[in-house]
Amino acid sequence: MLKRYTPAKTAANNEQPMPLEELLQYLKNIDSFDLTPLEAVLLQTEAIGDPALPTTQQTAILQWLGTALQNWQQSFPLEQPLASELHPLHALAAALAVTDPNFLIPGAHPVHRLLDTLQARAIGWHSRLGRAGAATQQQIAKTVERALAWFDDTDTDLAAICTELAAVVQRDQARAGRMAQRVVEAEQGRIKSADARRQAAQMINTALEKFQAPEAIGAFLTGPWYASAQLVVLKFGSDSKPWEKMVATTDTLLDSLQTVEEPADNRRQYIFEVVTQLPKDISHLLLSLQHDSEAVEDAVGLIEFTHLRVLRNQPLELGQIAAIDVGDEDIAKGEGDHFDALDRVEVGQWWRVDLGDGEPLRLQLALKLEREQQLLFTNQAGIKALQQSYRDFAELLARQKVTALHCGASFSTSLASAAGIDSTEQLGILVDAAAVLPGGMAVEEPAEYFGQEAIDESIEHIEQYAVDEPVGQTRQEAPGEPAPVADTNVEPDLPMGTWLGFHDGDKPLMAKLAVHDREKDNYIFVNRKGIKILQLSKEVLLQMMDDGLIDILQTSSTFRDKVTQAQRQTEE
Amino acid sequence: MSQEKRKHLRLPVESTIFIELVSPRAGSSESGEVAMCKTLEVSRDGLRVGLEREVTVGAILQIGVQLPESGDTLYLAGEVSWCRANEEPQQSWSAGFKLLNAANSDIDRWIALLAEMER
Repeated sequence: MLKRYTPAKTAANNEQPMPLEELLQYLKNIDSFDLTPLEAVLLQTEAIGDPALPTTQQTAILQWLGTALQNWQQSFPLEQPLASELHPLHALAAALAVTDPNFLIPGAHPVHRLLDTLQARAIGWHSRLGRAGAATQQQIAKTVERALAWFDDTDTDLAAICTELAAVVQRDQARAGRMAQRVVEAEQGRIKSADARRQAAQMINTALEKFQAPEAIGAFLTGPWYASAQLVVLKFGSDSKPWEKMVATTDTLLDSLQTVEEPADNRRQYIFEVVTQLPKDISHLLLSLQHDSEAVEDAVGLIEFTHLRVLRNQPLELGQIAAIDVGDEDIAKGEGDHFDALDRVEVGQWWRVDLGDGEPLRLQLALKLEREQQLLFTNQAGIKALQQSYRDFAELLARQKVTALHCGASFSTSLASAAGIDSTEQLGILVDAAAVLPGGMAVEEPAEYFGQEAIDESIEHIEQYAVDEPVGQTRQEAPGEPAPVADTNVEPDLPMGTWLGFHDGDKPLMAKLAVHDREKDNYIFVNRKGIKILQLSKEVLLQMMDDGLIDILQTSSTFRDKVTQAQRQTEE
Repeated sequence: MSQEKRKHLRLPVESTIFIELVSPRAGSSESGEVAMCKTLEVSRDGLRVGLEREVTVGAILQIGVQLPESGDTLYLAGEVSWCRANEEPQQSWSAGFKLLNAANSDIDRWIALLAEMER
């Protein structure tokens, strides 16, 4: 590193070394952060005609740090004005670089970790976050101010400041991670629900194409039976026994109502068998009405009554029942094209996205929907911020309107990189050459700073730090580890009217959030008629969500739209 | 219960309200069932309304109250406390709703409004 950064002119050959206290004062007084710390110091000395210069060692270290800072800002950029708020820490880093030997081991010094953590905290910040980004700005400003106190009191515990910041960042990012997980679950639930709707409709429509039916039976099939079929698909899947039973029961029901040319006795015998078995099967499969026994009885009664008419040879008014219209407006269909550029786009990656409608956004990819060819992005708070098709995103990539952002041990790796430590081979060369400077000038630093041991330690630090998971990233649960306890500080992001699918019991249950009671902090779920079917505390609800026992099927309620529409009609 | 013994004053305010009697199925494009009716009395805690059809006691329903002067609409959650048949042909049923302290509702604005009206 010294060889790489030792300049021609330093205090070693002009014999006017600058006292360390003076250098620290110059560093403290830096107010122009467009320059490297060394340039900023020299600018000040020249301005006042101070002939003293930093020593060779100090100059080399400051040059190295300057390069590292430039690399860091280029490779791990942050948005303004947040980026500028970190600038005073460049001076602090420079002061520590010339006073603390540990600074020379990338990743080892608290300030390295502090800058790494600050960058990880700020990676998702952009000016359009508004109030949602204010906490990040305040947190960063406060941390910078506390760290800069070192200039006045070198006992300032930078490690403690870093640890404290890391804990807050971890907590906030975990919270955002959970929010993002809800977004993902909501989207997956929406797709799952739409798939179930489509499959259920297709099954019933196929049967209705094949058979005519009385109007009342048609209403039953396209109403509660359709809703139950969706629940069966959601809970058991379309390759399950219950689904086979549902399909068979639908066919049997419709078939039993047809007028067929068959010996009357055989037909009667068949109808008798059907009449005995069908109500049981239908009651069992009517999942959508399982909390409304009266409605189940009504439905079964209708079928029994219709069969009675068949047995009495009374004519049924059979007609073609209109097919269920599911549409496909709410699920974007993929075009089936392949976009090479998106192969490397992975969930969890941060992006700077310029949509041309103002300042660029910083978004994290939360979900990649291969079949639908859609990408879903969340912002720093874990809230859904953008959904784009593969095609649109690939186009933005091609136009360089989106750039990948990176975090992790950002500053530490920039330091290592500026020292030329890109590979172990380079490290070896550096070690061999580090002992003596050009011109036979002896290295002033203690040998261990640049010895093999120190560099080995450096690599170890860098590697260890680099493989550490990014601060606050949601961790995959390892086998055998206890399940994480739900964070009860998180508010489930469920607006009134959200439909959820519960599959914690034998039978799936679909329920609508009627109230989040703020006093009791519990959640009351109802059926379509507002009848309470479930009440959960926030803790239990969060735990069930974390355990994957709940699908978010629909987060929007149409009630307010309907009210607005009715008001408009009244006015007209 | 006499007016004096009530926790909060009941005011004979008539305004248009919307009640979601049956919500659409999850993910469906059907419209559900929304009743438009009138309040007969209002208080901080509840509403008495005239309805054309019976509502189930205990049901928790979404309510939109259109404010008479501003035309603004407050969205609340209410539990049906009682429901009785009327003799008046226009409004076959009367029902009492207990308003719930629900997050994401306009209950705070409602209470503030009623407090203002009680003065």
